[in-house]
Amino acid sequence: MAKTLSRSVDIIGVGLTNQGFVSNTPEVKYMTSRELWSWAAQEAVKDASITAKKLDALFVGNMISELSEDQYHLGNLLPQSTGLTVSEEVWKPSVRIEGACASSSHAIRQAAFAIAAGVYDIVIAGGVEINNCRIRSRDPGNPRKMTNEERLQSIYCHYDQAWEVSQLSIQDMVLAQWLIAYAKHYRLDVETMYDWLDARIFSNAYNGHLNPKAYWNGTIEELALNAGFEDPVAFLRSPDHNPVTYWPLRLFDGPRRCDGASAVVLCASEISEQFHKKPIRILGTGNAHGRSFSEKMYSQPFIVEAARQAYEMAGVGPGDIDIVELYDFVAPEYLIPLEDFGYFERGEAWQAVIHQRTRFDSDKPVNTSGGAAASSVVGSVGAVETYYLVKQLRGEAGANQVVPTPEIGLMYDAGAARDCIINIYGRLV
Amino acid sequence: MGARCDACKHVMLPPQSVCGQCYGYDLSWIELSGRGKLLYASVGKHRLMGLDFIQGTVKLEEGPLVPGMVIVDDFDFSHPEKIWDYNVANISVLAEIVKNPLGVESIAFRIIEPGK
Repeated sequence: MAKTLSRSVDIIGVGLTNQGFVSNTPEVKYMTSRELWSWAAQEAVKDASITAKKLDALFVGNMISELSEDQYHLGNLLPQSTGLTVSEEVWKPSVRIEGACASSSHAIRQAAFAIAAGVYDIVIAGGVEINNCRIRSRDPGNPRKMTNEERLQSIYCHYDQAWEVSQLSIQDMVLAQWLIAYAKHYRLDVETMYDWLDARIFSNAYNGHLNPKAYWNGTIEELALNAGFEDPVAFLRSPDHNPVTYWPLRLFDGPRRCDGASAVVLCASEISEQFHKKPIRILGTGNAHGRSFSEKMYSQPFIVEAARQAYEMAGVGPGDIDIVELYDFVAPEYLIPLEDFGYFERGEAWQAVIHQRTRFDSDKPVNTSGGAAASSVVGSVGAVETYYLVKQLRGEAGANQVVPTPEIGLMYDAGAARDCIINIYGRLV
Repeated sequence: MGARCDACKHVMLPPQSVCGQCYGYDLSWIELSGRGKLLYASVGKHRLMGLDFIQGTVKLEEGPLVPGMVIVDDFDFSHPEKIWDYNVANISVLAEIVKNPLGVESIAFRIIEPGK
């Protein structure tokens, strides 16, 4: 028997900050997690057409606030500024959840479970992250960019210290092997691998350049011209402008890390239409863990399992998915999940991307936001994806709206490429 | 050293306190041979150490998958694409304990039988 939510849950509000560096991006300059979260939360509460008084609890995802801000315990820091107050001195239930890059996805999932259990009716969940800057408690008014060592340490601390980090097993190199394994399995040559990597960059940039909330929304063609290249592919193959990092990956196959927050208001379905005319239903959710490497590598069993759970709960199949937002921190995390959760048949995703079928105006839209190449706010990823999917499913996505308006969307997030959450959202038709 | 389930003989590395296959709690230490096959490998620069190296995924003959540094004495790091050849050959490796550039005693895999 399929495991389902015992009480249906809808999303009635979403909010997203501008994304950038709190050290120097004007819209977010000098903000801490408190201010970023407040921005996203206020936007989500207004979008839900409620007041903060209606909120019963807060679940916030965050990955590295102790490293970036000397700040643990966001669960206590954020309820007052979110309006989760019983009185000036007493605040409502609130907790921070950490699951690496899947932190906010876990927060949304746990918030949905709390509503489904009947404990709460309306909950705010999401994520906040300062993940590219450093704010020291002794000098809070002077945020600066992280040093390279600080930035890497903030990532490496989410891997197995005894059996990976100390053994020189670098996650990005394992992920490079996902792509190598895929090419090996489907007998693609090296040049085709390079073509696929370029195609993903073009698809993401095509989608992301119409996204006003993206940290980077330029085009590869502009970057190429500015660097003196008529041919954008030649630019992407240039060792000076796009050097190899972990073969076959290059610099542009990684993310653009930045700071920001996103919030989601969840509500019991039986009352959701009191507040929002277009509630988006959480049809299914799945979570599974693994080690990020497997014998076959071109398919990750923990992704397959999370998808199985989500589809079973939702009562839909891969063929019902109209749109996907996925976390492609490194390029192979785009390719492998697309087949593991069945958006494309086995062995077909690489060709679909090369043919740019993943653009927002093509038949299999993926990352209409621009993906991690546009902005990557690590602990807030799932909430950011949820924001964009909700906008798409409502038909409110603006210039990169998928037409016709999609009915069912799938969100894929993964913490450290080993803690997978898949949520399936549906428009009520 | 790895762990082997007394009941179903499943071998685990890192050692665990419960069998991942039959859920049994009765496990014994087992000395692993260190022999295995290189399944996949990538090459790049360790960003903290500034050091070029090869990282691979090895399947030990006892069963466990292990990620780790791969030692290829004559690898030309100015041509990282040459690692492709090591991915498509069926390469045997043997583990050895080395002090890695982080100063940590770690498992590394040395290629012993290219193409076999």
